[in-house]
Amino acid sequence: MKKSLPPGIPPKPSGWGKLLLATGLLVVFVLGLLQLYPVQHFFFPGKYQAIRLNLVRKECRKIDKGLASLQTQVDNLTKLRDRTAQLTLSPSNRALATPSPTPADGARSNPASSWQSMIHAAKKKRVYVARKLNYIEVILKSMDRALNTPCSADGSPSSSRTGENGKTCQQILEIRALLRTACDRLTDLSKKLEKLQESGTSPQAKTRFDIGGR
Amino acid sequence: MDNPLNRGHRFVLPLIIILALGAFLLLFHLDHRPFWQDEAETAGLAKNVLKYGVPRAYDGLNIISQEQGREFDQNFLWRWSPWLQIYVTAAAFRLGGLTTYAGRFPFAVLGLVCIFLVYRLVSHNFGDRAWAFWSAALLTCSVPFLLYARQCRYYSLGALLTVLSIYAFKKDWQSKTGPALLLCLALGLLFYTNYLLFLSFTGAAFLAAVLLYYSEMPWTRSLTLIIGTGIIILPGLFLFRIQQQATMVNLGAINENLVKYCADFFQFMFPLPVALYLLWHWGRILWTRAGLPKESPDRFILFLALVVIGNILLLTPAPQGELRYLVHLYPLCVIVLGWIICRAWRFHKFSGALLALLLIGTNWLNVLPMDWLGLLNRPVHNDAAMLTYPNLPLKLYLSELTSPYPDVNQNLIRYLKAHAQPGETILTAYGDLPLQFYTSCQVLGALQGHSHLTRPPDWLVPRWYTRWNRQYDLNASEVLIRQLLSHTTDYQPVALAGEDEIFGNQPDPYFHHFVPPMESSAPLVIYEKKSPSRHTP
Repeated sequence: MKKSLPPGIPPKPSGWGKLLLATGLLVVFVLGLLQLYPVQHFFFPGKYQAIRLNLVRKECRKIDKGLASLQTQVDNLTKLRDRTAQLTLSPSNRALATPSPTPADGARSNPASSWQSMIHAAKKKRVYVARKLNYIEVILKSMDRALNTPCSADGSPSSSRTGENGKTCQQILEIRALLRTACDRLTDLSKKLEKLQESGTSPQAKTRFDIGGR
Repeated sequence: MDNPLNRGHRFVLPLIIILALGAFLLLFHLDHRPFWQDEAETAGLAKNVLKYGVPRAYDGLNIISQEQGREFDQNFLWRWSPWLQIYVTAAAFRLGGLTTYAGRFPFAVLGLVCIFLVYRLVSHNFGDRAWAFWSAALLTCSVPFLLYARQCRYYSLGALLTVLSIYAFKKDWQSKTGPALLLCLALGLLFYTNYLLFLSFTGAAFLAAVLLYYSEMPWTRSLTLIIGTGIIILPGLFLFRIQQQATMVNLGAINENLVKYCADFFQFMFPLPVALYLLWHWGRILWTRAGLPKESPDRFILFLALVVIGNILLLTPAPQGELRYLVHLYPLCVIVLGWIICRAWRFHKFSGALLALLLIGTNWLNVLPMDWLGLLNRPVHNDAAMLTYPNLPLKLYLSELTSPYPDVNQNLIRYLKAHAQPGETILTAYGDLPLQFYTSCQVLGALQGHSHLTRPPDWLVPRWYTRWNRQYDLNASEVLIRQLLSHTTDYQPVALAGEDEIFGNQPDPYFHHFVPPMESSAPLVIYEKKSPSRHTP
């Protein structure tokens, strides 16, 4: 027969282990249950929308970071192109015409391949940002639909919206404004990148870039 | 009275229940959604095997390609990926006809065999039927595994050959010919299933075996096995142009892939807290010099864990970090998880039962801790009814199987089968291969590269999700469709039912919808050439 501990005496180490294990698993169980969509929607309506908005905001930060990184890549490519052009124009420097701005040290050994890999990396980043913009646009549209009436275009929530809905709508509009700026920046950087690609050492087949038909 | 016969029944019954459940989950409504792009590639090549005897990428009407025509030689012979899955599908088509069910059936059955083999591996080697039962039950109820095993692709074949090679390794391969041959053959066939799986698994398993079972590996026999496997795979090394594809290995992607694989692994295969427990359990080996565990199951679990870790590490330089390259590790993971459930049960029955419930019925142990630590990879396009959110995966899975899903490929196929004439041309931005398989039209575009059009296509299928090629340029088909739509007025839009989803029946949990998406992406609109300018086939 199992002995029960008298009150006040702490359980043995294995007892603590059992308690910890059971508690940990129970915490996961209860929180998991509460985070199931139907349960969450019943007890905390609006929580899911808040999570989605949080995710979108997180994505916006990633887009910003991506755009900053793309800007740096385009700047580096521009510097490299200008420097190469300068050195090629000056006959005394022709023998040394393997320039490289700081981030492209590899250019010293093989400028063409370095140029290509830099272009490739910039295009990859561009696609990364464009995909995120595409997704967010769709999600915002959908969230807008979920709020029944679209958020007014003048930047303020429509008068029928009150409380949580109005707040969400305001947030959607703010994110939209951010996205518009990001979209313009991406289009601008894409054009620059295309020009760089055209003027590059070994131009690739050109494909007009468009952000998912926007 | 407890006679040996009753005891036997008692042991066999749980296995029968597991296999019956597995058969239901794997085979029920196997054709409820049509092949998506990758499956249709296998199915299309298998269809051509029936016609030509070898996998040809061109059947006189359509070209099968997702890599701008790099997958085949000048005779259109497929040389991009190994042929085993193609021949398995071809055999199924021969027996069952050119149907979705027939194409998926052999792979679903192999998934079921995999469940049985997991049970057999544990019960035969360690005599622990509870452990064997929980391992098999975990695999049976693993929704990502089920999704992959129901595909007309190599996934379940890879998993089966992986577990078969471990089964052979645990048999007396050192002195008996049967297990040695089985090991050799399983590894050789794994190569012909997918050489990426072969390279990553064999490399990791060899290193782990040397580390843990060195004393049980006679040199001569080991060398014979290596040579034997080498002979089996040698023709494939040349046939599948591995050298050429090796240039796609990207050392710069290692870090990115490692992060992605780790996220996939903890979110969909092996919960992070359980991995941390194992780390703590083996702490004495990692941080002290207590030595390797002497106890056989303990050593075997460590072996499996090392194989899994090594496998993931070896996969990281590969160009794409996708969960599908880890599917063959599911059986290994469930064996470890089954062992942990048994340990937990023996330690504290309530905790053991709760752990089993959480692992089998929910994904909460996978998702919640990752979320708390801010490590969860939850793409913004995922919704609450997907596996990246806390869910009851089996419930979602059953909802999908028991109610019709408005699959994007299904909607396109239905409409075009009803309205397009045989021989008409369809230019699509993506999803050309399902249309090739199910319709009698000439389907161009998608990821095939530049399409040589002799006349304007009869149908245009632009897709909402923009696709870029490996050089990160817009796909040629995408550009062409946009040009055609902006420069001519010859096409009229036709709105189809359902959403324009990205893939269709893609098993990847980041993309697989069990129920229609909560947030609609875009309506599915195709364009039909107006009648007067229409070509008559």
